[in-house]
Amino acid sequence: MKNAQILVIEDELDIRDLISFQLKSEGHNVIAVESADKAVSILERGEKIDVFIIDWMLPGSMNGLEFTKKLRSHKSYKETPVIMITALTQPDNIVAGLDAGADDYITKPFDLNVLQARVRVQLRDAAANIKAGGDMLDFGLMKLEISKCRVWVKNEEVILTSTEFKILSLLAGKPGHVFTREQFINNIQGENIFVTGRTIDTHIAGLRKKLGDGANLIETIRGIGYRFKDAV
Amino acid sequence: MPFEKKGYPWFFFLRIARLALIVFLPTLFLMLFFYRSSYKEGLIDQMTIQIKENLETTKFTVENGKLDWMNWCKNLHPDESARYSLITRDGTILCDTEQKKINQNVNDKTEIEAAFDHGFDTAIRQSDFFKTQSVFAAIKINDNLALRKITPISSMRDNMGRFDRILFFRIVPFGIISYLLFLLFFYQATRPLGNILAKVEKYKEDIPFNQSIDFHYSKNEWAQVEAALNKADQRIIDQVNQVKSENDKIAAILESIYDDIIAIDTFETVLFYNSNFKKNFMREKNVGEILPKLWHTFSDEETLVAFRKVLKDGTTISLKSLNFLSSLRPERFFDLTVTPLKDADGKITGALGVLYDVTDFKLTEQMRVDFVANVSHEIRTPLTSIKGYTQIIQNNREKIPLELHAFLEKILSNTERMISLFSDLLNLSVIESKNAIRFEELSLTGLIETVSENIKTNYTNKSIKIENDLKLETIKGDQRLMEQVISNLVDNACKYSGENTSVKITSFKKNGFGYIVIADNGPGISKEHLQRIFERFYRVDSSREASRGTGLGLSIVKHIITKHGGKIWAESEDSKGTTFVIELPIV
Repeated sequence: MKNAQILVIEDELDIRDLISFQLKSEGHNVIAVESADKAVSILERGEKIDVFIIDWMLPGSMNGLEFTKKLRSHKSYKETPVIMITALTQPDNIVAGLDAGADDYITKPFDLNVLQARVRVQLRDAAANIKAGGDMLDFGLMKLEISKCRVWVKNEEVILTSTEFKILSLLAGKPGHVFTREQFINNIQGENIFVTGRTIDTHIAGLRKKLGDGANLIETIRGIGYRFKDAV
Repeated sequence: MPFEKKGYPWFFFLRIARLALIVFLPTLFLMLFFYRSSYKEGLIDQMTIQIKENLETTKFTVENGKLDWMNWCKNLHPDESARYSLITRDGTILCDTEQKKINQNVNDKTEIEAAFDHGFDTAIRQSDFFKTQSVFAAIKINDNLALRKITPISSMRDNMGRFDRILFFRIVPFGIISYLLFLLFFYQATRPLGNILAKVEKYKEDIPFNQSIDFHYSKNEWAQVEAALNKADQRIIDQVNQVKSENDKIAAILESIYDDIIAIDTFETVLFYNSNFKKNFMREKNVGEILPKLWHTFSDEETLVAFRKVLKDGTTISLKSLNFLSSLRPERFFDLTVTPLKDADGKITGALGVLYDVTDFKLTEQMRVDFVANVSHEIRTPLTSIKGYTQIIQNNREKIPLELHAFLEKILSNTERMISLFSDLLNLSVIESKNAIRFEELSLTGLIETVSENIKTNYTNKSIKIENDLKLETIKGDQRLMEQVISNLVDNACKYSGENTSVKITSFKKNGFGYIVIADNGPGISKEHLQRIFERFYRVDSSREASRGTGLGLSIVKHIITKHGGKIWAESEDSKGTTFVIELPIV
């Protein structure tokens, strides 16, 4: 998706320019501001934004985390992808950012090409994977039929437990989104399913074994959670 | 046995026996003497009465028979048992059974004069005639004449002799028996003294002669008792002084310790606290109190619970960085260690709390953590710029001369190296500053499989197999940190393994410990390096340089394992691979 409108909030001028330059060279339209307050005034103009890139530590009345929380409660932007840029690399900090509503994160110093790829993943509409009928998710290597809880890897059907399927469909439903353990629990906890932070790991280990070559699609982010890697 | 030789104070007994004899014998003799005198007096009185009756009968007979006194007298025969005399008022003897006494004058004799005055009288004195003590009795016949009878007392000698025999054969044996009985009773009453002396016996040796003891009595049991008591007294004084001086020493030591110290008994009564404790924790109103309670000093629940748990279970409890907000301003932090106090039988008698002020350390630590966080942010920002802009140049490399392309690569790879180095340093610093580990139950199987899957993707070109044999399936620890440990070790193993080899991960339980063993088929590490590979920036050899990391990976691993209370070591036979062994306590 070219010509997306991307709002970059970064207080360091050099980094703001760097991100802007890279994204513009990709053909995107970039609005770069140095504070959350400035960003608010742009949003108040009713600008359509496709992706937010937000630095965690921002000067002014609101930091990146608070701004993200605010976005998630805003009717127009609650679904808009957010990529968090942070110099705070400790898992606790990253999980806090993800739980505040960010879809993905990237730590400073980041790789420009990685940033670009992450943006690309967020821009790709999840719906693009949905085949006719709206019930099939097709990633080439792996196919999921949501309503019937069926999965195929390289056209061979894999039998999963209901918990495993729920985990897989949650991940595959939002490629590129980093799910923390907390988010797994909130999303799949329900009738007949009881999971805790540590049982998630056991379920995913089991899931990966069954998926065989498809296992590589589930990326472990050490100390933080899991992400579905969409082959871009 | 009624008489025990040993231990009994015989010397004392003999003294008492002697004393008793001195008192007893004279008493006995005096008693006998008085008895005898009274008896004799009684006999004389009786004799006097008989003589009086006899004289009155004689007077009656002579006067009724109208006999003449002179004729009656002349007809009397001399007799050995009595002598009769008729005496005129002027004392002249008219007639006498002893012819040669006639006409002698006896007016100096008291009984004659008294008889004329009162009709009858007696006197006892030596008789010239009988040559013995005699009773002189006189009775008045008329105004000019009196009759006198002299009777020698020797006539009652038989009676006295009988009385003396009775005294000797009855009273004297009785006295002797009484005396012996007294000795027996005295012995029995004083027998317990033997026990006391036996106890004194052990003090007897090396008793220095006290000056208060007279040398002459030193053989005396009581002198020994006194000496022993003196000795015991001295020993008690010495021991009290010694205990006192020990107490003073201990108190001085406890006072000089920088930590705050408090001791309580099982009823939570405060037995002791040093001045530092008093300064920091005692409320003013409780300072003078004789037996303050534990809850008078600490108000926070956590501390009280720790003390109570120690009193109940007898285990030692350590609490880190307690903040006693309510009682202390400005805020202070203490490490608290509570240990049980036990008696010789191992019974819990109280608890000892040692509080170590870590406020300064805590503040320094906070400053360090803040500094690391700030540095982290400050360095990351320029690094991002360097890396980013270099990448932009790289993306547009066709615009720069070809000979500079290699230099561009160098800038990028060194930037990467600096980033990972910095990242590891930060990581290490964060782990070091962690006060406590968040222990949760972890699925070791899940953890190892996830990490292996992830790492495998980085070494697809080497076709390395990761084999698991996990008999220990769960451990307790911090999820993220343990993930980092396994990840670092498995990554290392893959890095140094040759192509088409395998890395083996095993886990098992043994002797109350959990073990995770990661073995590779790499070149191995020689002995001299093996000890040092966990040091920061330590490098084994140049052959490893090719795939060099930051030199901090194993340091981080070691720190994490240590924080978990475990151990890690490496075993290696040169050229035969390296095996890392993690030993974790099973919590």
